[in-house]
Amino acid sequence: MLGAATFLVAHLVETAAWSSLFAGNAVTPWFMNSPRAGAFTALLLCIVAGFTATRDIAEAVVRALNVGLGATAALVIVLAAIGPGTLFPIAIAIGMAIVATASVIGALAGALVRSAMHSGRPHAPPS
Amino acid sequence: MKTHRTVMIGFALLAAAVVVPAWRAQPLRASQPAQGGVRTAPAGVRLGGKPGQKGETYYSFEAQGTRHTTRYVDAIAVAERSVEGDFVTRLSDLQGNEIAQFRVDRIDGVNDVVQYSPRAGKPLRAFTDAVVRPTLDWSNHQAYSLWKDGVISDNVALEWKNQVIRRRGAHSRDEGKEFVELQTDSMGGFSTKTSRRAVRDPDLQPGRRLRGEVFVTQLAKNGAEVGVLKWVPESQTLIWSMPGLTEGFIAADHLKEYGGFPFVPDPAWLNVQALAFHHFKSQMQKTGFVAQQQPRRWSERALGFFMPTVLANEPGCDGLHWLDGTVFRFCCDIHDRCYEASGCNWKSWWQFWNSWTCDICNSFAISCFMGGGGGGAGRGA
Repeated sequence: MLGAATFLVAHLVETAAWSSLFAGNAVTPWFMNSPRAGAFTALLLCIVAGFTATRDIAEAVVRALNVGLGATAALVIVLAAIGPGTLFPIAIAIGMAIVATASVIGALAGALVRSAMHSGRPHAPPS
Repeated sequence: MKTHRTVMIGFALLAAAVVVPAWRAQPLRASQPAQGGVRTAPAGVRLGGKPGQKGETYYSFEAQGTRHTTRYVDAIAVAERSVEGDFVTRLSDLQGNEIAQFRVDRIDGVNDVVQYSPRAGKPLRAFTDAVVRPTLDWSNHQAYSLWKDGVISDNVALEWKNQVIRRRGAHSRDEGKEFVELQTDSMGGFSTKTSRRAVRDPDLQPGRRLRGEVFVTQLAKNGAEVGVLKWVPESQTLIWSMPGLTEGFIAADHLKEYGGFPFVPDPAWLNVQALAFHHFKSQMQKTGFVAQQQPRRWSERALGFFMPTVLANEPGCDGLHWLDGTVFRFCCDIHDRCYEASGCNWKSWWQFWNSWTCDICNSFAISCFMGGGGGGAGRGA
C-alpha cells in the first residue's frame, strides 16, 4: 500500500506541475515520459523505502521489494488509465525495474543509517 | 495516431491566423443578380478564401501594431501607423542618417497611393496593386527595396514583382541575408522581436534534428518576456513556449494532410503569431470559451479507466518518452512503422493469435530494447 500510495502521490505531483517543472505539454504526464519525472518518482520511492528499512539488511530488502511491488501495481493501473501505448509491456518492465531498484537502494541506505545510529548509541549499563 | 493536443491547438491557431477565408466583398458584389437583390449563400458551399493568403484574423492582429522596426544589414526602417490608418516609413542608414521616407495613404483599399521620397532625388507617387494589402511590414520592405534598387525619381521604369514595386529588370536579391531583426510594438504594451541565428541546440525537440538557422521571436508585455517562438525553416518546425499558457511544436509532417504549411512563415508572421498565441490562449484560460469535455457518468468513467479511449500510437517511444532522444528511439520508430504497416494496436500484445506480423513487430521491439537499441531480429529486413 505504501509503495502504491507513494507512486500515486508522485504521479499527482507530476501531473500538476508537468508543464512547468517536468516536460511541457508535448507528452502525457507520466514518470517515464521525462527524465526529471522519472528521477522524482525514484527519489520519492527511495526516501519512503528508506524509512521502512530495519537494521537487518535482508528484512530491509524484503520491505523494499514490497514497496516496489505496490508501486508497480499503481504503475500498471496509472498506465492503463492514461493510455497504455504501443510499447506498454516494455514500459511496465522498465518501470518495474526502476521502482524496484529505487526502493532497494533506499532501503539499503536506510538500513545503513539505522545501523550507524544504533552503533553510536551508548549501551545500557548491566543491572 | 494519438494527436497531440498542443499540435491541434497550434494548428487551429495557425489556421485561424492565416487561412481563415476572407469574406471578400468584391466578388460577391460583382455577381449580384439585380440591384437591391440579395444573393444568398447556400449551406455547404465554399464561399471564398485563398489558401496561402493571409486572412482577416492576421490583419486584425497586424492592425494592433503601432510601430514596426526592421533592421537590415545596411539600413533601418521604422514604420508607424497614424490614427487614420496611413503608414509612414523612415529609412535611415546604420548611423541614423535619413535616406528616404515612404508614405502609404489608405484611400479605399484598392486605390491606395504610395509616395517614396528619397533624400537625394525626387518623390515618386504610385497606386498600389489590387492584390497588395499594405501593412507596416510591407511598407518597410517596399521602402528598403526601392532604395536598394536605386530609385531616385519617377523617371525610372518600374514593375510589380512579388507584390513589391521594383525597378524594371532589377535582379532578385537574397532578402533572407539582408534581414537582421524585426521588432513590432503593439497596443496593450506588447512588443515582439524576431531575430535570426544559427540553431544552437539541434536536439531541442526530442526525435527531431534541427538544422540550419532559426528565427527566434520574443514576446514581451510591458518589458517583461512572456513567451518565445522558434521557427526553423530547414526543418519546417515551429516551437513555442509561453509559460503558463501554451507550449508545444508543430512541423510540416503534422500538416501533411493539408500539404504542409500553406504559406512561408516570415518574421512579420512570427511576430503576429506570437501575439495571437498569447491573445487566444489567455482568452481560453480566462473565459474558457473553448469547448470543454462534457462530464461523463461514473459508469463511463469506470469503463474508460479500464479500457481507455486513447488507444492510438504516438510518435516516439510510447510511455517511455524520456528515451526519445536516445539510441532506443530507433527501436520505437521501427516498431511504430511496423504497427502502422500491419494495422496493429496495443491489444496486439496479448491478442497474439490475431496477427503474426504484429507479433514480429513486438518481438523486434523487445529484442531491440534488450540489444541496447542496436537493432533486433528484423533490423536487416
